[in-house]
Amino acid sequence: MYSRDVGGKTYTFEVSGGLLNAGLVLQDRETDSYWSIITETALKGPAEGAELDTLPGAVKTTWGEWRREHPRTRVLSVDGVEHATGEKYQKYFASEKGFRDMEATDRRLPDKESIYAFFDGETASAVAHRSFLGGGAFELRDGRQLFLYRLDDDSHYRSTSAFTAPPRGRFVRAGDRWQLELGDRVVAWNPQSRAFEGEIELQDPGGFDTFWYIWSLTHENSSILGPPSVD
Amino acid sequence: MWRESVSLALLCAALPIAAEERQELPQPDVVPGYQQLAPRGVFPALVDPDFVSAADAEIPDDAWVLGFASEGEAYAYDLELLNSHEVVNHRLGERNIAAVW
Repeated sequence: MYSRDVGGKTYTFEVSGGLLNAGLVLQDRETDSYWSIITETALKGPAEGAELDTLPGAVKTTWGEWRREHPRTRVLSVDGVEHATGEKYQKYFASEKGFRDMEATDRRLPDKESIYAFFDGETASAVAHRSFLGGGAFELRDGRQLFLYRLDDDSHYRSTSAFTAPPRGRFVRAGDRWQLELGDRVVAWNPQSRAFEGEIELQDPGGFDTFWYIWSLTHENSSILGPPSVD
Repeated sequence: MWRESVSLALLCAALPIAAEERQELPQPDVVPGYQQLAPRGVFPALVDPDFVSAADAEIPDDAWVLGFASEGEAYAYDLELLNSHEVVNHRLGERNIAAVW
């Protein structure tokens, strides 16, 4: 989810019809500039160098779960239709090969390793999904902790739940449960809602789920985090 | 309750264009690694589309959606519906936003 207001201009985006290292590239209708959603910048054209502003608050989940959390949600409707069927990506998700047999040059992880990708400060970073099944806490460069959560049987479509702890906050596993310790305060992880309970606002690390070959082709020498730290 | 991470789509569609047509596509000089695989706008982007209430939406509970909550408002986009468009341009309050799958 992006802001269309960039540098005092408002853009209208559409697919360019092209990919950069298998990642989607958009074009805007106002200046015809090319924008990569993997580098999150305008690659070429009058807007070259401008940065896409990723908005926090987006998640991929099931309609049933979303509606329970947001009963007043509005729903996209196209020609009177709110739902379509097709699953055109399923074959690609199931394959061990990249798009048109594209391969990573960095072989530290398999091409189709599913990862959570983000920037740890200025450092492109990746965490394999299998490193945090059932939850995992990772150390960031600024001393804070990152908490990532997926389950083994999660669909490819589901977003990784990701939270950055406040300074001095620690994500701690207590038996099969997770909690966030903030000094004397302890906040429990709710695996049903995939959120920490109570009125607490945690920072979104701003990452996304993708495959290793896409991320590593665009971000050479990406850091790979893991295994998770143990408290 | 603040909720979950931004996430982008896993990409690489089977673009709806034949191999021989693809070979004839001009390759613009964008950056190294860029490949033009289909005409621009092959999936027509939506601009200021309609939205309905949850009560009026006909979606199975187990369908996957991209959900976005911000500034007290929430929007849901059926992922399979987004497949045909990839980009939804609209407004949320004072902001102009784009949902991208």
